[in-house]
Amino acid sequence: MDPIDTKDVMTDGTTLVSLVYDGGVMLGCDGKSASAVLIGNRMSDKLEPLHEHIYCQRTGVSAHTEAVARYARYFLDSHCAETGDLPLVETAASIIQKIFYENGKYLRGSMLVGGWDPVEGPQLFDVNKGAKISKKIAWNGSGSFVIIGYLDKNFKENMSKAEAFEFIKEAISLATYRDGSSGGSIRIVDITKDGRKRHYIPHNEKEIK
Amino acid sequence: MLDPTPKTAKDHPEISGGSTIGIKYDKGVLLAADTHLMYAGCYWYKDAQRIHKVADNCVIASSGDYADLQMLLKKLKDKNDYDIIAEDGHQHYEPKDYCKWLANVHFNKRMRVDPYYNSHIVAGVDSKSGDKFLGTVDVHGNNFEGNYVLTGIANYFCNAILDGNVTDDLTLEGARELMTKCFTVLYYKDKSQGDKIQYVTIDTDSNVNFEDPVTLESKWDYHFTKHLTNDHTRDVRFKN
Repeated sequence: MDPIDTKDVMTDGTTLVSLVYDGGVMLGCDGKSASAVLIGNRMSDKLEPLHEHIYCQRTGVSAHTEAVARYARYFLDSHCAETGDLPLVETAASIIQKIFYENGKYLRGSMLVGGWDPVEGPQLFDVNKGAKISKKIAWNGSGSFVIIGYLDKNFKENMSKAEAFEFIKEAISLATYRDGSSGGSIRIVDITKDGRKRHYIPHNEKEIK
Repeated sequence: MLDPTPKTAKDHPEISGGSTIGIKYDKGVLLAADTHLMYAGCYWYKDAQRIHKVADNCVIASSGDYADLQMLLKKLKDKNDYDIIAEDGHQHYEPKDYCKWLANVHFNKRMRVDPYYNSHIVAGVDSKSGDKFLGTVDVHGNNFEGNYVLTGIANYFCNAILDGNVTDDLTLEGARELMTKCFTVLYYKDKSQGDKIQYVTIDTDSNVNFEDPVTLESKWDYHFTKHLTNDHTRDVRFKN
């Protein structure tokens, strides 16, 4: 069966920047879903909850990655029912890796999985085309190519919460300033052992517009 | 003997600009274009000028390939120079002559399967009769005139806003309001559109006024985007 590939498919050609800071994980994304010519949704939400303390971020063809996240949520939920315990972030990342690796002919996308678990603490995994890599800072999407130099120069391990927030906000503002497929507002979720907290920064409040 | 090597031509615009709009108002013509050029999916240039003055009473705005535009502007400037020299200081070519020339050039290149990837708006005021002129030329050589003209993606989005509202007694402020509405819609929906717009007006007294670019206002903090996120629609149990 040939993989189906339409010409003008709606993708989340996007900017994702996530990092592990001192005490938690912060995942940040922009807000634009665009196809080759038109903007489908200028305020989309690319952060998907997989469990209470685990989030994933999507990039690639929107339809494919939303379906993968939905399956991953289901498999993770039935895994938690069997073990009766909170899931590990690595489990969630492995489930997503398995789905992408075995259906790679039909799917086009990749994900960043981040969260907190009671065994290892805050973690971040970059599931990029079937390879799962644990990282302290991860980026993906077309807009991330624009800011790789900025991230290499300015990232420090074990930042405080306020430093990490400003870092992600500035990185995504720089990426949306230049990349055509990223834009709009910034969404950030901050996951610690006490739960998750969402932030929304509209386009008018960025410093670099 | 025919040359056996295959002929190749560029098949898409490289550094390209978004759409442009022109509206006639009661005392002249208003043109607007944004200042962003897109290349390889990125906003490569953020302060380019896409509206140029060709003669004392004629202005051209164009969307599409920027390299083709610069080559065409060189040829148009040569035509204007020749006109002034040949007529001893009096200008003979009117805006509708420049528009017709552009349409012929585009059609000629299109028939040789090597088009200029541009759509132009030619605007101006006839120096003898004082009539306003507003015409458009597209990549195939189609040439239309009207009370309002659109190039690029604006053809799909902005006809509904402008049709019926561009009347003979439209003031300059009314024309600016219509332009702002059109460009807001384009900024929200078109990937290659930026938010810095440059307006140019031409009076019936042939005063051409290039204004500085202004930034569009846009609204991004609706209640539903801030609070109704994926947390509410996906089936995950949260404690708070």
